[in-house]
Amino acid sequence: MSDTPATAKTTTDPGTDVRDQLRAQDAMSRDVQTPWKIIRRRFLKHKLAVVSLAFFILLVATIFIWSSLLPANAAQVNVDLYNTNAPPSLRHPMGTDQAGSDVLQRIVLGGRVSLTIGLFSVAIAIILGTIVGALAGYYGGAVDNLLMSFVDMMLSVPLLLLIVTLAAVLGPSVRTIIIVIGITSWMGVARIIRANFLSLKNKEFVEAARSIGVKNSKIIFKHILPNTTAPLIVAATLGLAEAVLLEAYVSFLGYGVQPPQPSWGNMVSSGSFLLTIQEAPWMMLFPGIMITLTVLVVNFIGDGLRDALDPFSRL
Amino acid sequence: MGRYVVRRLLQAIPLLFVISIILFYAVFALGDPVSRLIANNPRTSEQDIARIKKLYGLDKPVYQRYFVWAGNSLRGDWGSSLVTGEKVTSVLRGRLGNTLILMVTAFLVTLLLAIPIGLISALRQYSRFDYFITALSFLFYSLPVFFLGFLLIYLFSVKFREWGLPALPSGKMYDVRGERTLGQLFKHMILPVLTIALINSALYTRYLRSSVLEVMGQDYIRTARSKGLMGSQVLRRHVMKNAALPLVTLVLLQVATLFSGAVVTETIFAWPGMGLLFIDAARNVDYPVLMGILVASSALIIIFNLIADILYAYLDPRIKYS
Repeated sequence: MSDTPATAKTTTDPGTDVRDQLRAQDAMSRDVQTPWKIIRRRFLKHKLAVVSLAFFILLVATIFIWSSLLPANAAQVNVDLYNTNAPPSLRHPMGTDQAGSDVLQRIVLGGRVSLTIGLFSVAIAIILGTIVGALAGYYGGAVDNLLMSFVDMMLSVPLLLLIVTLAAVLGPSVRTIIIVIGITSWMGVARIIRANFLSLKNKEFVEAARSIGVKNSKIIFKHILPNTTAPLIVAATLGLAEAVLLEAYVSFLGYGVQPPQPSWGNMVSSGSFLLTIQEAPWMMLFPGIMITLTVLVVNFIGDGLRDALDPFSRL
Repeated sequence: MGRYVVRRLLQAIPLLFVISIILFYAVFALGDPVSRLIANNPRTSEQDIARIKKLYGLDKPVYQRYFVWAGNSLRGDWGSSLVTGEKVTSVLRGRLGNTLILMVTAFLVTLLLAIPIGLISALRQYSRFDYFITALSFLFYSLPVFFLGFLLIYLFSVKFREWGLPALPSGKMYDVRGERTLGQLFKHMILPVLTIALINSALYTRYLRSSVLEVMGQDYIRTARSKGLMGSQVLRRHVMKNAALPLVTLVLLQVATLFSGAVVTETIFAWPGMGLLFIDAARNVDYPVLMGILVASSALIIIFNLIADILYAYLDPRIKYS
């Protein structure tokens, strides 16, 4: 019985047959449009977003690699005591500050701090928002009411005032800022995730999972959550822009990263006395440009991702 | 409608209550007020610390202090500033006017900029003007407020003086030795107003543009056109009215933030309003003032949220009160 197909095959050259099959398979797999392929194609069409992404990757890589090569003591990078408040030159491409520190090197070190704070606080916000949104959307009823009232409450307090207050009473440090920004910016994520859970929890695949006795926690994390990846990615990207901006604001106001440790926000702040603006404008110009550029490209990436991931989005 | 308003009001009260509890805990329990109060005098004795604790009521547990604070606040006594000893209510009242002068002007300038620009941008979608405005609004949206403020100071205060042009003042409401005239105030207001208006109108322009585009795609606009209405009439009576709806919410929510003021802008331009008061209070760990500003601004946001919802339901008959 087992040798019938073999005898049938011997009538033609077995080699060409296999090759044909492989070629057909190859052609098929090339034509198959997996969701991620569609998304990638749509994202690549968004020229500005692609350029922004390339720039952002380059920026992050440069900052993290370069900063690891600089001396650990951030206060004393390449101090040039003979050239304090020096304008940009070949030796100091972004000039020096009043202590003679090289502004470019401080920007690299400050960039690592600012980006680290941005990334970690977004991670906290995403995790918190996902948990709250998933629980509210999945269980509904009293749980939903309670959690969403909490969201409303958080949204009723002026964000920047809350962050500054918390940083002031906790004592400002990098870790405080990460936590404070994280626990004050998860509400948008929670709303998005909740809305997605509300529409997904009555779908057939969830019903099927429930009917064979899958646990609630597994349904939430293994069955529904993966379907909310798209809005999560967009929220995380736009959240990163927001977090970098918030860190800059808080540090600018004096409740974020404390000098002499540089961050882009406190660098603008320390260059912002009227006399400094007059005599050494590069001290606030370059870190300001870095913040703006970073936020701008991350916003562009987020915009491109939103267009690529959500075919119905308009804005 | 009446029942809806009452129900929402009844929801708002416990909301504010819970907010005040959490803020109170955040302000009083997370930090160590005594160590901040004696920070300048490390040789304070144990007895002195106990005396200070007793003086400010810090020897009692936090929940007791909250009820004392809440009771007093409801009776209109918000405590006194730890720094100046002035009543918190009168401190706030003194600053509110300055903030409103700045913010209301900035707000009007924002609308004057954003409404025509957003409208033209939508009506000439994908034109060169539209691309230019879109790029510009993305840029201003990503610009930190303080950076824009300093760029304006650099250009209009520092460089203009260097070039011998009429320079604009870079801070405060009046010249230190000058008279407090309206002209003075106007001159000092230009840069902070410009800072706020440029950044806010970036957001408003994006909002209005997408809202107008959405309305223009609706069936009733085609109907209005096909029954022979003139373009301007369609625009005024059908497009504008409907596109303005989401803007109403945005504007009202923005109004709520007037009270807390532009913390950052006021810091840059040394504008003696609520925002600067808040920063000073945070620096001095002046708890009563901090609590006053936080709770009052939260209350305002809740109230304006409520007004926005009610007004929206009134303006858009498709929305049912429920």
